[in-house]
Amino acid sequence: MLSILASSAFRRVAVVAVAFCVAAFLLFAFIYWQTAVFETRRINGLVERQSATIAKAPGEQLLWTVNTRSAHDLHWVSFAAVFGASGDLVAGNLRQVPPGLPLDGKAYRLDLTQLDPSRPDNEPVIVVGRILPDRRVLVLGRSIEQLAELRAVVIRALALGVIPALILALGFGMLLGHRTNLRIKAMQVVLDRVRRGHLAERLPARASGSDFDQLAIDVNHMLGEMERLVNELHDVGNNIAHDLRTPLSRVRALLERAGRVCTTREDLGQAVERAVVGLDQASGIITALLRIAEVEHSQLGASFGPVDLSEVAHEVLELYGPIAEAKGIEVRLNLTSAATAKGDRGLLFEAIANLLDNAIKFTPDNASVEMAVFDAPAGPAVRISDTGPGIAPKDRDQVFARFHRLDQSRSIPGSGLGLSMVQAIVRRHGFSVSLANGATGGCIATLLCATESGTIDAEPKSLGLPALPDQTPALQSG
Amino acid sequence: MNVLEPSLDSRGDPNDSCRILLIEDDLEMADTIRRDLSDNGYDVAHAASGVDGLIMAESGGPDLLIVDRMLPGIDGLTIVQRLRDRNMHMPVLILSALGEVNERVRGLKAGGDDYLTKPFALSELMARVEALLRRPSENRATELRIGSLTLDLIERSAKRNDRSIDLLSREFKLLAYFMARPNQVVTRGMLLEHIWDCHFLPQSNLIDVHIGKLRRKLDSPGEPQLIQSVRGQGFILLPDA
Repeated sequence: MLSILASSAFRRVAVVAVAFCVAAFLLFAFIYWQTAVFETRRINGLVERQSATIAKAPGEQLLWTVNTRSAHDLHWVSFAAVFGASGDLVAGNLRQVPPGLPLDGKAYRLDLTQLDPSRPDNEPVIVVGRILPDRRVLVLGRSIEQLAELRAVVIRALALGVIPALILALGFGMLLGHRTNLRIKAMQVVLDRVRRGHLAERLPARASGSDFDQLAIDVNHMLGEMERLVNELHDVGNNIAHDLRTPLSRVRALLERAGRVCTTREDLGQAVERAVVGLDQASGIITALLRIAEVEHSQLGASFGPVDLSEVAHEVLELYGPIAEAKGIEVRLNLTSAATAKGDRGLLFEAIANLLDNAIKFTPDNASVEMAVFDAPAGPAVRISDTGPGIAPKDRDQVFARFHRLDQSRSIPGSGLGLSMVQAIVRRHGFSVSLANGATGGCIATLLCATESGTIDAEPKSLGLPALPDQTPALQSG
Repeated sequence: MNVLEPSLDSRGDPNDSCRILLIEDDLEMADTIRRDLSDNGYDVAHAASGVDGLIMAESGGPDLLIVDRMLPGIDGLTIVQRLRDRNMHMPVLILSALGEVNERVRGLKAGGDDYLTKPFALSELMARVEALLRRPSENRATELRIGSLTLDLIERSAKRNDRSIDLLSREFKLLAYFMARPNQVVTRGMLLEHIWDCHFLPQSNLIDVHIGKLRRKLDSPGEPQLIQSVRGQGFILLPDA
């Protein structure tokens, strides 16, 4: 019950209901007030006119009219009386001239007790007093008790209209609150399961487009992304374990056997040398992984600057040229236009080096590789095309994943981390890298050195320091 | 302290023996490094904590300091900074199991002269220690001459005996690096860092291919090989005459 009252849906409905009640009350109060003012004014006018009319009548007729009016009045609604110049009652149903009543023919509001002290109730009365030509005094009055009745009617209407609406609204609010609570409880159950490791769980979401469903859909998206990352991490963990265990188990077996079997210094030396190679391989993997993590998480913004991509491509080619030469591979450098990217020179060098290294590795001997640097409409780009086997479209996303190595490349040495490194560098810069197959086979890797939004998140943000008071421009005088 | 004193006093050959202070908290690692350095003729003292290491470095004034980055007590970088603050300018080699580029930059900024990431090959450590101790003096020579090889640093030309050798600029830089360090093992890592300014390890056996290319230019048939490979370590320039 308490949780329903605390639910946001109930609170919202309750606020609306209270606002509705206040509005209704104000409306009724206004209607009553306007009606009362109008009625009072009407009765004022009526009594004043009657008083004037009666006063003009000749003496006999005047007395007759006053007597008739007071005789017909059984409920103390209408009063009429004529008093002598000395204040004694001549005719009518009042006992005295109301004390304090100005005798000027204008309407005044008095209490009934002022008219007749024997009546204890405080009924409001409109009274007009006037002095007749023969010095007698005419007093006419009319009770406006009916206005009080009007007020009672208004309050009754208010009660009849508003209270059921209020009850209905609160009930509706509680129902909504209850339903909201049910949904939230269902979500909590699911999220609790997610927290305990069941990442495949999803929040119930209908396609109604309500805010709740939209929220559920968003959370489900987030859960999907989390699940993917965790699975990827799990795969990476497995792959690390596998790729580390392979050389380690080899080293272990090698050393164990060497210790048992080797009898000569040379045999032992050879075994140890092979063991060291295996260990270097294992630590190389760890180093590469740490580098990737470092690139992904470090603050590199400070080292960002303009980088001449043609120059970097030249240097990469200088580094890798001899190795391509040794395989009889011709690397053609195609510089069509000047291309300057904003980034970390060392990292861009590494990314391009990794792409070229890959291209050389997968290109058969005596074939060719092309490295092109150009200023594409989308931004400066480096394109490296090889004449190797290419990558099937379904594998293209996977090759960037850590440790992913296509089956056909298992025989080629490497940690399988080169493209992951490229991906990490590219992401750090907000750039993009894509793979495609050439028309005549081979793989085309394109590094586009432009950010989508045109800004780089690694850039140091402006500190937004407020201007110092003494830096405000001084007023010019004279 | 009590480790340093006896080893300082027992300096056998005052001409040759360089005193190295090793500050490393992994005792097994320290023992192996110490033995290897001793085998190579160095006089080694060991401190297992940052505090001991700092005291020993300040009082002993070793010729070279090898310091682990992460130590109990005072960390490696602080030690180096304090020594530099006190105007002690012995070469410092920082060992670290921490990441690559950023940590390396921090290490060198703190006053380290070289930075080696764990795990490393002992031969790499030896080569770097030797390189730090035998740092080429800042002379104004315009010509380097090792055996039959002559390098003109002004004209950027190379000659072996009278045969002129046509070198690309990077090859020239590579050869000059070797000629400044004759009879000294140079590792692939050192070459990558100093010649190519490259702080990642390319996956392919790049350096060997570059050396091979340089060798073919340097050595005519019948001439002895100037740059020789040292198995499991790197390369060495041996004067031929």
